[in-house]
Amino acid sequence: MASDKSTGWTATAFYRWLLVAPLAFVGLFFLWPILNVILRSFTDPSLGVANYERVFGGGPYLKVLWITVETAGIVTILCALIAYPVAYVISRVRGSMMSLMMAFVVVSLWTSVVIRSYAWMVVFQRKGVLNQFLVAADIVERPISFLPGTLAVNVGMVHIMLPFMLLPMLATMRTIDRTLISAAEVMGANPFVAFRKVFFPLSLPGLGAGSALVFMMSLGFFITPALLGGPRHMMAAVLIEQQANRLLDWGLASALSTVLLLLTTSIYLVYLRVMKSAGGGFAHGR
Amino acid sequence: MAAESTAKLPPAFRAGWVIICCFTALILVYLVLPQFIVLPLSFSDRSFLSFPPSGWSTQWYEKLVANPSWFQAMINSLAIGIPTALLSMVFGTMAALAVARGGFKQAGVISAIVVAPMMLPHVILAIGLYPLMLQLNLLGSYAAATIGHTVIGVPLVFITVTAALARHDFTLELAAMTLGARPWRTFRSVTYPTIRIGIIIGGILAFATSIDELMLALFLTGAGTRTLPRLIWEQMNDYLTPTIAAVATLVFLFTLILLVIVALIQSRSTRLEGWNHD
Repeated sequence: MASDKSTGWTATAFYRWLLVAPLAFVGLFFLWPILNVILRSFTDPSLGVANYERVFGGGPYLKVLWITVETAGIVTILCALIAYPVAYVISRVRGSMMSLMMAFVVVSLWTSVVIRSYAWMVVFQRKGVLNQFLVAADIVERPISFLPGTLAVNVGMVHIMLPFMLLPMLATMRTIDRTLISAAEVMGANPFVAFRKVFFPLSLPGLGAGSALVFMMSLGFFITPALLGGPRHMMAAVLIEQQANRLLDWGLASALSTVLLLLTTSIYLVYLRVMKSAGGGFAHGR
Repeated sequence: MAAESTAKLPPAFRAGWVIICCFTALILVYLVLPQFIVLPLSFSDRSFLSFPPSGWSTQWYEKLVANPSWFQAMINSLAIGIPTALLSMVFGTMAALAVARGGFKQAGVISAIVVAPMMLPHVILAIGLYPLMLQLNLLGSYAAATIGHTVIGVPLVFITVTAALARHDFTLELAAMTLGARPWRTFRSVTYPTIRIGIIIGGILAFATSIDELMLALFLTGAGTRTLPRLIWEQMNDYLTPTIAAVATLVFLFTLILLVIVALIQSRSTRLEGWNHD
């Protein structure tokens, strides 16, 4: 902002002072608590790395971390595969059809996550919608127990994460200049080649931003795995809640949180870089 | 309304287009499927979750009204959600103005820190805030949950206000100040009208997030201040009754009303200041 200097410092200084209150709030109630979680992981119950030895010493905790990363990866890949064609179609239609399609996405995004997970419990339970259908269609003889299980967790999580993949993809696809594709076709490329060589590379920033966002959010996901996953498909956030809230093992909970924080922060930094290169900023709604 | 250029494509590509359109329709139905399961279930005449229901009744809504803890939880959610929205609007707007107009060299770093609470797992924030609230003797109070929710609400307002500021030129404000307006007066009569919509939409998003938030509520609210998601959660872990479906339907209706309000504000703002947008 070169123009600021020419008008003197009053305007800029006024705006700079506005940062004090929000930064104090974020510092006191976000940075400070998180710093304390990291400290506690080395000091509770005694000074040292004993908590990390428990986390990484094999056994159940390491397995939970692995399941967390694996699930986040699967959910991200599924979301990317499903969202790409959907975003492509939405970016090509116009007018009221587009508004209608966006309404589905936005309504889904705004529905309470707790309630959506509840609905998936109704679908997947023993006498649920899916089992009734499978038995009626003679695909299986007796109802399958989906709950708790991996399939239910994946279906439920993809459902919640899909809008977060779709919105960045759409934002990027809308900015792609269609005349470029027409140009490729005029030059003799068939539509598939034009898509692969022109459209797809231009849509990659949206795919990257969406994938980073979904992976990051999936790592810390709590409600769906807690309700649909059970002990065999336990994810990090569920384990942390259990250790802190019920078993009162704050040292272990803090160590697990620190590992989760490191994982998420590294993805967040990748996300910020992707967003910067995409030039999109943060304006993707919720 | 299909795409502009499909008509002149060879049949193979048109078939491909039809297939991905059908796929899109299926996925869009999948996205709203839970609502279509919960709604009929809430009118079921059975006490267990059979779907589709064999008969209809409004007994679950009657049970809902008869149980005061649901009403109390709703009041608690509002008592936490409304102050959260207001605080988020104040802090989020201040931070957005400072970053957009303060000429900081580290503006990117500041934005990243302000937005981070929205991105990082809430469970980490929850176990960090719990001991702090215990120290401050706020645990189980409305204030504790409000502070926690404001931490994740500020980024939402920050993002919407930043987007609004990016659409408007700083020169208008500079002109006002050159003409002798003090900073506060410049803000009130020039800056504020241009970002008002951004502030309101950000506030509604912060409110909606607070109303839906579970993790911080689990750690920071007490028996007297537990929110609606927390009560649903506790009920769900005990037994699955259609009462939850009735609550879910009412919450969904409430969310739809909020959504319509946001859509109306947005369409009105684009109509009023359409010339400002690119």
